[in-house]
Amino acid sequence: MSKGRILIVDNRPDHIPFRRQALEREGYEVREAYTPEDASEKFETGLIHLAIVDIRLKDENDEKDWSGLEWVESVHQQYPEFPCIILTGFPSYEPVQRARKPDEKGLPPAEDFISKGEGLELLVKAVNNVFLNKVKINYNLKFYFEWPLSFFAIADALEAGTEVETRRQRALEVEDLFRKLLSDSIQAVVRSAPQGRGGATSLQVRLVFTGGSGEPMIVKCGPRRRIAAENSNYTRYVAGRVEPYYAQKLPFAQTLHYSAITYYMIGEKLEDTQQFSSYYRTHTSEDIQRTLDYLFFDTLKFWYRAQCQQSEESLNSFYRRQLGLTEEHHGEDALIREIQRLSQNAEYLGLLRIEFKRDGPDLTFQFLDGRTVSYPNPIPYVYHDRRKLGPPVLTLVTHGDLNEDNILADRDGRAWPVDFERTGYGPVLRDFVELEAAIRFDLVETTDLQQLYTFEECLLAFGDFTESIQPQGFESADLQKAFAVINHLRWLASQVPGASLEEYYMGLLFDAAWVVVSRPPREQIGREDIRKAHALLSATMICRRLEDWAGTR
Amino acid sequence: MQTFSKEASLLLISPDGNWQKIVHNAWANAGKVDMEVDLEQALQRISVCLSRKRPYELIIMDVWATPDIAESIAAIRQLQPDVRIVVASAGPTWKQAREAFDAGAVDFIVKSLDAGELQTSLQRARHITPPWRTQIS
Repeated sequence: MSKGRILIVDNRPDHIPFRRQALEREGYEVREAYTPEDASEKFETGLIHLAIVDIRLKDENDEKDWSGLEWVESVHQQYPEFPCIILTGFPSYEPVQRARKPDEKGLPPAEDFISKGEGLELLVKAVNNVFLNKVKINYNLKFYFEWPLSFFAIADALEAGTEVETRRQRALEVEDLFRKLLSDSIQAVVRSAPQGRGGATSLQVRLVFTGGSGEPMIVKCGPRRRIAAENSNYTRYVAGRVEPYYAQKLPFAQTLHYSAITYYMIGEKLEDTQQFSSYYRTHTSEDIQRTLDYLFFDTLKFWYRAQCQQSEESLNSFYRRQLGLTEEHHGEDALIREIQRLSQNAEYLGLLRIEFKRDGPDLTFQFLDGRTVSYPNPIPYVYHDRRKLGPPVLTLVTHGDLNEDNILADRDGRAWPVDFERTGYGPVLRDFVELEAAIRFDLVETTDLQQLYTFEECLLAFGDFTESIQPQGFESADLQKAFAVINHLRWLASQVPGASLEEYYMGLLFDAAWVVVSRPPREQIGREDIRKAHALLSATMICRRLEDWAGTR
Repeated sequence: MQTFSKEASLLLISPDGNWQKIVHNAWANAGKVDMEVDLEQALQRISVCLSRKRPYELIIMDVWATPDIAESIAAIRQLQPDVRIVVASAGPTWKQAREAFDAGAVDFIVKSLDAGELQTSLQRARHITPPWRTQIS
């Protein structure tokens, strides 16, 4: 195995061979490029660790030709951590200034600046130095995967639907990512771990060092920007603010397409924890209520005790933006198409019919027993601010994506969140709203829409957070449990300064609309569509509740 | 023209009277400017300021004030590791520039800059995370 891949970019092919030989003697693998375009192509596809770039790539005799330096600067813009070395036959102080002056984050476009006249020895020394201090790729690390895991399987999970050749290439990149991330160990035993949502994958890794083995940790890898956002949010909002059952121990690593972040448990064993989804299914509502107390009163207390800030954005606009409802594939037309599709398949959903007209005032559901109910068309509420709250809206730091997959709970009922990609300032009740939506639409197992309708009626009967409502009209233990847990969750929400039930319902409306529009329809009507129909029913009922509210004000 | 916060404190190490005036004018609205003509005296002043818990935010080091750029930067950083250092030269060479950046300077400037350019450079330098603080994977 080579010590790393180096791209030499020089418009003079005859200048490359002796450098190539010197670097290959050191154990590096060398690729060549002769123009900026050629360099970009090799950089994108070659899994390159370091580029050595000549300044003049277009005209050797033009002292104003800085095309090589410009290429380095463009790479630096996109991949600030990628190391380059400038190598030139015409050194002067201005290109040194441009190449070596650090940006605001302290990263210079080039790690070194060398004159061709200084000899090969200096170049090799500079290359070794960059690999030792910047690339830090651990080629001594041996991986042991639990079946059926492999780097290809990880790439497969991250790049589902792409060509086999792309996935093969990406598997090598994932391996690079892990070798960069785990730079000081000799063995890594990799097992699967609870998965979150949204295109990333999590793995349980136990490292072996020369002095012994470490505690297992979670390595989360995924699309470069997404994990980088999580890394940045963790540093900004989580470290020191969330009770430290979870702590980031190692720096995160990046390659061209991926990033990885490492979490290490303090005082917990990974095998003793489970995702909230399975915890919910295997525990009583009383246990779950205690766990929610723990999550909001202990783990996240610093977020909820902080001073609120006023946002200049309305609640409607905030939820639309955060949930991606402003994007075309989740926009108004997409929601209308989904409602029409559900209407056409009403009989398969256990309904006699759903009546919906794009610009009509109402949406009508007819249940199997012949009962018919009509509620407002949710489109104007979701996309046209038929009811608008704020600005200003009170905000504080929120997790931003609290759902059954993003909370871990241990045997003692302690809980803490993971996945901080969307963490940041948001409406004060955002996390409670999202968790309630997860319970309503993901954790509830009942598929009888008539029962679910009664369940929704009860949930919307609350006039304020602390009102005592008895569940009526549904007997399933599943719904009784969900009602009790949601009732408690709302009580917890009421403890947050500035909590308003109207804002809470408005948040639920957007989350329900998101459930309807967010997942692509399948060819066969199934559980997912019942979930969507339930969310549609809920959304339209919330619209009526918001109307009533406005009428009584 | 840009202005600086009143708290901004700068140390110029330079035996060049003209350059001292230029820097003084460029920093006039910014805050305190201290001047020393050589490194030895500058190090003493840095120590005194640190003992009074008033560290410098920025240090400009003229290459005329030192025979060895890298050693001088290392000596300053040994006293105040976090300080941002700008190296200035009247007759810049690429080796001077490389040595300055290799040693951890946040900028290398030419003394012929006008007051506006100098202010822009110094303002920028104040907001750079020094390279040795940045973690790279």
